[in-house]
Amino acid sequence: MTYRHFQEVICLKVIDSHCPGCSILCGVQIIEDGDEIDIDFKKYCPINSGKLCKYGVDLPKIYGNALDFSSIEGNEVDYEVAITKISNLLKKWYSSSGGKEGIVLCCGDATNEELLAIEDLSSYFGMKCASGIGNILNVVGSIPFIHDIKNFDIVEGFEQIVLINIDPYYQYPLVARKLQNAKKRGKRIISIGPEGSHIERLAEEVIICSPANVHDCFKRHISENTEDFTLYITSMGIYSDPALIAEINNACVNTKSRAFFLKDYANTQASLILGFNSYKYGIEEIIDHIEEGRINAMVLIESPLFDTYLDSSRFRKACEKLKALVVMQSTMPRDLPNNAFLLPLPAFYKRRGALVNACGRLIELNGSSNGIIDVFNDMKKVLGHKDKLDFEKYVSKATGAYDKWISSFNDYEVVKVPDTKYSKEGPVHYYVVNPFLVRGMDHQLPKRTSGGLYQKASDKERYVIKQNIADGVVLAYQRDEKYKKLLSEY
Amino acid sequence: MMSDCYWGWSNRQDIRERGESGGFVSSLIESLVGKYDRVITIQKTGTVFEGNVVDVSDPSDVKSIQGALHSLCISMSAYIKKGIRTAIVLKPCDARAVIENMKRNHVKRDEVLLIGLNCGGTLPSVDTMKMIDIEFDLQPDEVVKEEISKGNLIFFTKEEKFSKSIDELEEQEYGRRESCRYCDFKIPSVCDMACGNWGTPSGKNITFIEVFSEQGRDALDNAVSEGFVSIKEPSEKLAEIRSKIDKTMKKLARKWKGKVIDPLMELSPENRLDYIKDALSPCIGCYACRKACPVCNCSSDCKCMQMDPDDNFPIPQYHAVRLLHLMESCVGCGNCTDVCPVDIPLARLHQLFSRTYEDRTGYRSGMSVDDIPPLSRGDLPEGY
Repeated sequence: MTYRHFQEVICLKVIDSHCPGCSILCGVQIIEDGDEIDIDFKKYCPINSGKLCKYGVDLPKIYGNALDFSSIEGNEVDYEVAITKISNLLKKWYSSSGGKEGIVLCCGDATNEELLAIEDLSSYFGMKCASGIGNILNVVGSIPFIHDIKNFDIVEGFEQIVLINIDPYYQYPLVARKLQNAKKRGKRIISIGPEGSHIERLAEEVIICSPANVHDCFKRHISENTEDFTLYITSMGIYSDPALIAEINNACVNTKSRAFFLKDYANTQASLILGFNSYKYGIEEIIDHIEEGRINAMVLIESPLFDTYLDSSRFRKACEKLKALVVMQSTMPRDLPNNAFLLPLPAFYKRRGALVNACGRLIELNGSSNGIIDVFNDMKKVLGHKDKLDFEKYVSKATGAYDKWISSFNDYEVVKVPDTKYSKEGPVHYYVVNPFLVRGMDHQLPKRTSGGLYQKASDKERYVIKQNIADGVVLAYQRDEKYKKLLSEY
Repeated sequence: MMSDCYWGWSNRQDIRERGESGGFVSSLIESLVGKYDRVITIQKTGTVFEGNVVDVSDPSDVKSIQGALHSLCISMSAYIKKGIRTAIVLKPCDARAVIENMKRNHVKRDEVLLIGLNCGGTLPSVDTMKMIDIEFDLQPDEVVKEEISKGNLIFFTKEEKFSKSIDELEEQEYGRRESCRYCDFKIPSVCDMACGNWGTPSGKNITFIEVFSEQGRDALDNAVSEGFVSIKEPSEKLAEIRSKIDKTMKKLARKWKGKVIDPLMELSPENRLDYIKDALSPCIGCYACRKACPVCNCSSDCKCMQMDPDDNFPIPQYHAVRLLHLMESCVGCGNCTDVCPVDIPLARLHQLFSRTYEDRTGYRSGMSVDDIPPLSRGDLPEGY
């Protein structure tokens, strides 16, 4: 029996979901109205009380930009053709890799279950998994520092909060409101990093330093600071300096202080818990290894770095050398190398499975698609395998790993602060790791770098820097003389 | 007058037992499925604090839409689309927003059936869950039902009933959302009908219904004739009590306005400007307030979106334009405050402007499609 008299009107559907913009995983409701996608504010979600930053508000645009075709070396093909060619390409690479390495890179926009499936598939093709922050894990191990930071309210409880190279207003506005509340309660807030108008309003003490000197400034600060009930907040992601992360970890040893690392991809936290990183290098090292010919195959999953990586031209050029380059993502790519084999994935909100937010809480994604797992099963079918990757098996494995992790926190232990060439020559970031930039949002947001790098640059330089600005974000590479000069002036 | 008012209840025992106030609204919705393109209401998805909007396409969906959900403050008017015949259950402020949208021709009057719910105020979900833990010593998932009655906030677990005075809770910064406290539009008379439990016999599961339009009457007659609901004339005494409750709620709202809005109205222009500047200073330009606003109707290329919230004007142009535009259309729903990621009290600012405008011109937004704002008519009072 049909109850709808007006069959041409499609039933409106509201899906409880979470914003993939960063590791906070704000609650949001996705409204599907035929082909139109909109959002509503999920006010009962304890993480964000319905509040969203610009990225969340713009989700309809982002989800509306869905990748809906497959292509092989620039030519659009049917999904079946693409899946066959990709499966055969990877199989052929495996049988003739000749000692070269292949990696599957997923920065973290996948469910726990998908991450485990990626691990299985990469080992099937003799490849290694990377989330792009393996360099940090090499230094500090796999426990991603969530000692007692079970929810954002706890942020307000510390006597002192030190923001290190982070402007929460630009990067994680949902944390900014907790800091505002902390300030109202008389808590002391200190900022170490480049200047920013909002930080100056929030922090009682602002230690302004060049992005390149944050590490040294932080070391000086902790040597002079006696408060041992401090919360250190910074961002931990593909652009982070492992030495700074190690230093922050060490500042917590034998104190009541805690470190709170926000992450720029949705499920980076779980990639740490699930031991996803068998290739323990950062992005810059991975690019080096491609350039050196050590890596000659790569599968990029939900990591649209051709569009968003700060030195995307270098990344693109390196990837053009690969023997096998497979790109699987849910959004439309902007600047794909010609040798790429491209496959669409369902949008983040359409998938089912679990995620772990920045506070270490298990979050459910309420879609109906198995996402990457279904794609991998299609690949297995092409290669003649009758057995299928089982979603439920991954649920139980991921839950087991999570339970073990959540019950096994140890005290902070001293780690060696690395002195790698990447901490000296890698990308220097100035509020760089925010959802707006990492996600490649192309609209210009208000610039707040008053008196900073942007204003000091000449017209030509300003244009170049503008390419790397999003919401007051300025990137400079130490290895690039032009930027180095600007940085030293700054 | 009494001929437009009824007591009503569901004819289905299961809905009567599960539903709030006799399950009248649930069964009315059931009767409307198939008669409208969309039948929109709110459904519970977990505890009484969790839920979302549902387009009821099958009468069996009615099971999930029963019970009071004061902590689910969803802006319903956004779910109405021009060209799609929609029956929708909404709060008074939502209904005012729909009226504003009708004025702008974004909603057609004859395409919608507005089923209003009387509203003494809604609660902020997350803060209420925290309050339950702190003030009631309960876990949110223990609560199976909630109710606001006679100035008390009541939570039911499977075994017990817990009650506290809303006044007392609000003194401790809990209770209703700020915009609800000073809202004085409690019975949604701009709808096709208004439903609620004010004016019903104590201990009886019955809904008091007031019908305001032909469309409302048709919907009610249909639901009765098709056997979904039963109605009867209410007692005059209880109808009077309903009016008294409305008056008392309005009086309380005026008290809150006196506490929250009036002090801002009384500031000197310089101090008021300082207050507004300071309140807006944390703005990060996310435009969530615009997205959540039920009366902001411009498309994504709206002029205010091209303005930098961090410009050099005393009040950023983005906000200045919105404050002026909303002065004659803000319905005081409070959504802008709810969704602001840096906790700017936007609803308070907009109400400061719109209540001042109302005081000086007598015009109130969202009360009638035929009301044209004085600014648009060009006949502002002398000296304005």
